[in-house]
Amino acid sequence: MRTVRGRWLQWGVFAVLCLAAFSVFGVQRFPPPEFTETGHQLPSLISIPPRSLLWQYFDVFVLLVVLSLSTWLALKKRSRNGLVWTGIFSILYFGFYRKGCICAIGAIQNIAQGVFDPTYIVPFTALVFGLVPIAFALFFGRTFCAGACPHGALQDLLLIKPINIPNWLEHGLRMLAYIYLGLAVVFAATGGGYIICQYDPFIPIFRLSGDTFMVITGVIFLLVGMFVGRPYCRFFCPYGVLLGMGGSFSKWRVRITPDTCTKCRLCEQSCPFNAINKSSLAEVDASNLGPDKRRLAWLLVLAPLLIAGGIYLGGHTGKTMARKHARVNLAERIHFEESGKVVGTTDASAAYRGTGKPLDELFAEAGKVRDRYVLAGRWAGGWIALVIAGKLVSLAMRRRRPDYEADQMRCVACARCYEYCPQEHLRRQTLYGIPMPLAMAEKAVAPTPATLGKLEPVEPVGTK
Amino acid sequence: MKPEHRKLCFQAAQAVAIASAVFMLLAGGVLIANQFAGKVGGMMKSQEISHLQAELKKQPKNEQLKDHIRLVDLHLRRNTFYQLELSFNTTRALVWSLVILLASVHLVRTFRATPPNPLEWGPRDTGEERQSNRIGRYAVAAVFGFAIAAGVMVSIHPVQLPGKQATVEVVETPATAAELAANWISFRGPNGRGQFPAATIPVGWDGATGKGVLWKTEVPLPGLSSPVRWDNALFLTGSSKDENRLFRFDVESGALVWSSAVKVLNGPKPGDAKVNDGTGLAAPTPVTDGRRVYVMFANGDVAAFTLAGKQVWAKSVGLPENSYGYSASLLLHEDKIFIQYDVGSEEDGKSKMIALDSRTGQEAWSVKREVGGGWTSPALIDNQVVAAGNPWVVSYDPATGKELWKANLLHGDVAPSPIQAGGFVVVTAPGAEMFGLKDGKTVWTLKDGVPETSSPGSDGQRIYVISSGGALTCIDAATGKVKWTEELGEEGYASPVVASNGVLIVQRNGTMIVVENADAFKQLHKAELGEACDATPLLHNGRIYIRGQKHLYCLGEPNVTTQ
Repeated sequence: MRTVRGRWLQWGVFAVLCLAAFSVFGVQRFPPPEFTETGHQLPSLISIPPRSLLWQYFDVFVLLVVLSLSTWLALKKRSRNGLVWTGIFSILYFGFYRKGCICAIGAIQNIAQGVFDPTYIVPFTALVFGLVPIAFALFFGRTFCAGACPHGALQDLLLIKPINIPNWLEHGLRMLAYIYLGLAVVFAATGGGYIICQYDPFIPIFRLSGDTFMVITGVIFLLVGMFVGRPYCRFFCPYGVLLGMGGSFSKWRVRITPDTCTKCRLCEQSCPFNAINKSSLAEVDASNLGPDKRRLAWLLVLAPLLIAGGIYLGGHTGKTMARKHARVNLAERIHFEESGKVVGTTDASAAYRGTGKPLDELFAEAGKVRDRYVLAGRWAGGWIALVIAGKLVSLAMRRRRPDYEADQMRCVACARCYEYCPQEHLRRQTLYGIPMPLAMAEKAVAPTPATLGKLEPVEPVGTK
Repeated sequence: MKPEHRKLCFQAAQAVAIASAVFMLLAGGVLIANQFAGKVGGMMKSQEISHLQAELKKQPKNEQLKDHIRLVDLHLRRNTFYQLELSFNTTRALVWSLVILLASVHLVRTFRATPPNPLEWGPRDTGEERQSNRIGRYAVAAVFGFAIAAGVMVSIHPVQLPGKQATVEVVETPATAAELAANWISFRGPNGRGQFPAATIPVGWDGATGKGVLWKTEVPLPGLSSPVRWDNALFLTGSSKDENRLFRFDVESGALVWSSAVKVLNGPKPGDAKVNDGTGLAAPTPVTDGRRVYVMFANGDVAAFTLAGKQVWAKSVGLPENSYGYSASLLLHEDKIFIQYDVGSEEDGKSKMIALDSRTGQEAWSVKREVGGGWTSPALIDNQVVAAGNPWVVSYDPATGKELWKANLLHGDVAPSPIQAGGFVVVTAPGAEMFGLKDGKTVWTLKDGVPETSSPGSDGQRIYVISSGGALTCIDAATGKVKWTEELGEEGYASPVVASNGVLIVQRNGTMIVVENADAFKQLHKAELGEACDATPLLHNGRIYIRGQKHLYCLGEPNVTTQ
């Protein structure tokens, strides 16, 4: 009987799968026909009107609700399932329904442009989407990543068989996100475009269309994401950098256990994002710190030189990055045409010449934009060097950690580690979701620092 | 959950995971195959259609072939639409199956989950964090090295824009007055009255026989504009219904050095201009300041080009409403280009005098003119811009456009341009009267031998005019009295040109006559160009440069090499 029911269930799910797969239709795109004989004019395309203000406010409302819910689920309810369903909602709403726009990650570009370009007014929604998750991170850690970010939630769901990345590689790869943040701010602030949006690998997935390069990038991230937890969030997301920095100040952040850590090591391999810092094993021998101190001193001396070098190189790089600005690109093209370095005109150069505006005006404008890039490049170069120097200094220092704890910058509050902690089960009086028998529950008392010493020695397993 | 229920759920999730994975593979295969089919047999790349289109070009009236193309096109479109629909739906199916696969895999993992066992992991290494941080520093340093390398690579090719000095050089070193006077910079020479005292008119040539024809080059596009010269470059305009062009020819060889199209965004097309054959689409003569060449055309396109043929700026001043076609040439003074935009009728107020900044093409000033359509070119006389129209002759301050004086004198289709001669401004009411004006007041009037189309030529003392009837008249510029008249027999649109050794007359049929610049008629030379001609010739270095109906000629004295 059970076997028959099981087969019905299997076939039922299979039928749902097939129905879901074949129940999709849509509007097609195709090259318009030519009416050369009849002279029929195709009606001009009408641009899709921007989202109405009311709906933009609704997006903000949804963000606030989802963000609050994620925070509550991650910190108070400590519910992994709740966060998964919140994430699914975010994927559906912010991802597939809103097509990945508006998005908090991209909103930082609006804010950067608003700060540096006095003629640009940051849209209200972009402002809220860009700042509110950071404000939440300042108090509660990266709960935005846990359930409100469609990019993160999608990668989280895709993670099938996580592979642990060595810590040293994690340190190196995470630097890429800082570099990406610097470049994104440079291009947004100087009018060179929103590269985070242009190169967002998940947008083609949410929109089910995109140019080949981005589709391939998106698919690669999805495939890698099945084995490496949240590769975009950890190694590329520029917004994650800001949230992580905010999260490092958070008071009410994720704790593997709100009770006392018994250093049982059960949570050690629970985090697929390398975001759990293990407890220190032994006291540091102060008499043996000479080489470490000298290394730290050298790095502290080297740091200003690195920053100066970064500023210098960033300024030079800015002269090239300026080419991404349409005006500079056009001016250079026309300069090449004028000086005979290229033959003929492009559509853009011919159009500019057609306006009758003088070339000197264009060159002067492009020169100003290039100067802005040089300045922004210096800032970005300085920032990247500062971050690298800071990281090197950080890795040269030793910290004493009495407990296993979630890394404040890396932890995305996914709540996976909670389920691994025996303290969590004791506190909830459940064992893997099953209520403890009454007798066991009555005896179960979570250890405290006071009681911990009275118990039998709980030496961490395998430390000797 | 009971263990048997847990097992059941595990089996169900496993089955769904397998089914969705198989379905994903199938969908992926369909998608790839469809993509491949689209690339091979796509509507836009159909070889069959290309072949049929090529065939249609050979047989443009083959209705059967047209029907066949339509049928093939329909078939291809249906196929394309089908492929697009299949691709779209398969992609959706792929996404849905991925969602189901993920959900089922998660369920499989949940129902199969086993708690971790640290006893199996072995002891922790006391030096693991230190070791990890040590390699981590190398990893971070490697990323920094990568960033530096990328930065250096990127910096190798910085944006190249013209230096400020180069820009200033072009803008701030205009040609000197001597340079301007030494070149034939505008319609009818540097002083606008067809006089080039330093030049001599060669004789002995004959265009019809090729004698003395130093070179002859076909002009790619038709036009009635006259050539202008700067150093060794001759500039000429031409137009078709599709494009306006400026040509540069080499003075010595006649070779076409470059040809540049005027590109005006959203302006009227050349073919939009209503013109007659006697005016054409490219009647206005260009003007040059030695740094730029400025052109105008019948459709209202105005543009500036470098001497290398690159368009610096271009704009449309509007499609001129002109019954014969727009023909006024541009006038250059200091940093301004003047356009006598006489269009429509006297009453509709559409005529205006426009001054453009020659560097930018921006309008410096514009004033309305109470005149109807006209065909005369403005002239620079005593640092005033003088423009003749029906009925007003007006003098403008070139800096501001302020009217300095005006005289209500002219009538009819005013075509001859004003000149300065004998200290007077000489204007012409076509076929009726000529006036010698001083500060807008009429000093003398002449009613004999008055031209209808061509402008007067003068050396300052004598004025030469050629009437539509073919009469060449010499007038005393000081008194307005006729010195002599000679019937040449053929009418001429080209204006007389005065040189040190004579006066050059060109008739519409291509007959060219050189007469002595004297108080009595004396013919020095007469020959045929070999084709009809309405453009005014240009003199340089003992040679005549003249545009015929189809060719640009360089005429010189036979067996004489001039430098």
